[in-house]
Amino acid sequence: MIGQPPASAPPRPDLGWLRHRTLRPVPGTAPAPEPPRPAAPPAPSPARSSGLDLSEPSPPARSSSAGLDLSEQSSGLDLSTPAPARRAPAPSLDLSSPLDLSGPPAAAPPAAAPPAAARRPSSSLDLGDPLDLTGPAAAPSPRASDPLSLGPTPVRSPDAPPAPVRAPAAAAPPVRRTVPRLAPGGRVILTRRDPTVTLTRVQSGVGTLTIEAIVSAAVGDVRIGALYALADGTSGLVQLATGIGTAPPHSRRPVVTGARAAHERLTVDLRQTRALRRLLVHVFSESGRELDWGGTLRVTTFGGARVEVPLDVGQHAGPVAVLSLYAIDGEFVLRAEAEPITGAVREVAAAYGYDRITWADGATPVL
Amino acid sequence: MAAMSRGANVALTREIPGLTRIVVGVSWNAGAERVLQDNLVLATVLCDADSKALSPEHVVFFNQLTSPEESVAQVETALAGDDEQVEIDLSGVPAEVNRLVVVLYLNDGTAQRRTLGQLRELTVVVREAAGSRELVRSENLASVLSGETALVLGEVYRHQRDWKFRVLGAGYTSGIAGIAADYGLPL
Repeated sequence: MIGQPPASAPPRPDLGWLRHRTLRPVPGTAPAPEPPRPAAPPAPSPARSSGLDLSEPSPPARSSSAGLDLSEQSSGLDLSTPAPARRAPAPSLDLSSPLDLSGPPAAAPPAAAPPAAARRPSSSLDLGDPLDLTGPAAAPSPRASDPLSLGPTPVRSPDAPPAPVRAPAAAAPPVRRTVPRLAPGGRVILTRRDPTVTLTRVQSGVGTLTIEAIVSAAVGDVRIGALYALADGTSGLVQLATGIGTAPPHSRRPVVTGARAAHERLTVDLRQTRALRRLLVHVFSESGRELDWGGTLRVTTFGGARVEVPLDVGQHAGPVAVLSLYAIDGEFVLRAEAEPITGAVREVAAAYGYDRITWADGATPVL
Repeated sequence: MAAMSRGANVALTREIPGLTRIVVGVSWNAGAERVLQDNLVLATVLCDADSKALSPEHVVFFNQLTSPEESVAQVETALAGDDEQVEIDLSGVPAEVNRLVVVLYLNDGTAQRRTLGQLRELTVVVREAAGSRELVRSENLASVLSGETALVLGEVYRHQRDWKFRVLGAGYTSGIAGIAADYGLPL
C-alpha cells in the first residue's frame, strides 16, 4: 500500500513524507465496511487490505506522526476504562486484562456495535478487534492465529467494550518509524522517491559538514550559496559570488563559511551546530544564462560519509534549490529539493520561507 | 590530597561507600587563545567490555546531552570552577557498559588550527554530585602535550563490584577521528 496514492486524490510529489504513510479510511466511510466483516473473519481484507492494517499504525483521523499517535491513542482510550494501563508496560496490562473478563460480560453482545463505532477514531490496531466484537462466536479461533492478539483476545471476545481496546495496547509496543540513516563511511543518494536522510547527533555535531557543488566546467559557471536561519532568529545568505563569505556576515566565528577549492564549497562548523536552525543550499549560474544542468551536490560528514543530490534538472536559467537542512533535536535532516526556481535568490528565499531577509535587489540581501 | 598522575587509579565506590552520583569535570587555562577555548569539547563515550562505543547514541557531548537511559548527562553550565562537566549516575549505568571514557578534543572546525599543546593547564577532577565536593584531581595534563588535538582524560570503569577512576592523559595528534577509530565511535 506504500507508494500507492488513492485513485481519487491527486498525487503530491512535493510532499515526500506522505509517501510513507498508509492509506487511511475516511472517517465517514470507515464504519460502513465494518458490519459485513464478521461473517468472514479470516479474510477480512476488502479493497483496503484492512486486515493487514493490524501491523500498520494508520490512524484514520490524525495527521501527526504515527509512532506518537499510537501511544497517544491508547492513552486516550484508557479514559473510558479507568485502568492503570496508560503508563504501565506490557506485563502489568496482561495482569489487568483478566479483570475485564469478570467485568461486563452480560452487556457484551448488544453493546458491541456502538462501542465499535465509537472507537472508530482510535488506532488501526483496533481494527481487527471489532471483528471479535461483532462476530463473537466465530471470531476467537481465527483470532488465535493472529500474532498480535494471541493470548488474551479469544478469551475476552465475548465482553465487548473495554477488553479489545486494551488488548492491542498491551500486545503491541509503540511502533517507531525508522528514518533513513547514513551509515558511518556510507553513501546515500537522495532522489525524488527517497528525498531525506537523517544524520545522527554525532554526525551533526562533530567536526565539520562540507557541502560541495561538483559540476564540470562544461555545464557552465556554476556557483553555490545558502540561505540560513540561525537559532537566534537571524536569517541571511552566504554566497561567495555575492561577496558574502560567512554566515553571519563579518563573523569572527562563522557557522557557515564559503570557500573555493577544486569545487566551490560551504563548510558548516559543527561546534556551533546548535546555533543553526536550517539551511537551504542552492546553485546558480554566475552569469545568469540558461544552463543544461548536471553534476552533483555532495555533502560530506566529518567521518567521510556522503550524501549526494544529482543536479539533473534539465535546461533552466534561474537558481536551483538543491538541498534543505533542518536541525531537529540536534539531528540534521537533509532533504533533496532539486527544484528550479524562476527569478533570483530572493525568489528562492520566498519559496522556502526565509522571510526574515530584506533585499536590495533580487540577488543582493541587506545583511 | 596529592594530584593523581597519569595511569593512577582510585576505587571510588570502595573508598566512599554509598557513592552513586559523581561529576567528572575538566578545567583548563587557554590563556588568551579564544579560538582554542571556543573549540574545546568534552565528550563521554559509554563503552562495552571491549572498549567500543555501544552506539552513536552512547556518546554524550554538547549536541547529545544524555545517554539513552540518562545515566550520563552533560552539564550545560559547569559549576565549581570547572570549564566542562559531565554527571554520572553510577547506579543507573546499563550493565553492558563497562567503562565511561572521558575525552577532550578540539573540534576541527573552519578556524585556524590549534593544538592542545597551547593549553597552559589542564586537569580532570572527580566530584561528588551532591555538593560538588572534590574527590580526586589529576596532575596538570597539559605539561607534556604538544601537537595533540584530542586527549583521553580518564575513564570511570567497573572493577569487580566497584567503580574506579583512572587518569589516562593519552593524546592523539589525529584528533577526535583517532579517538573515534580506537573506541569504535561511529562518526
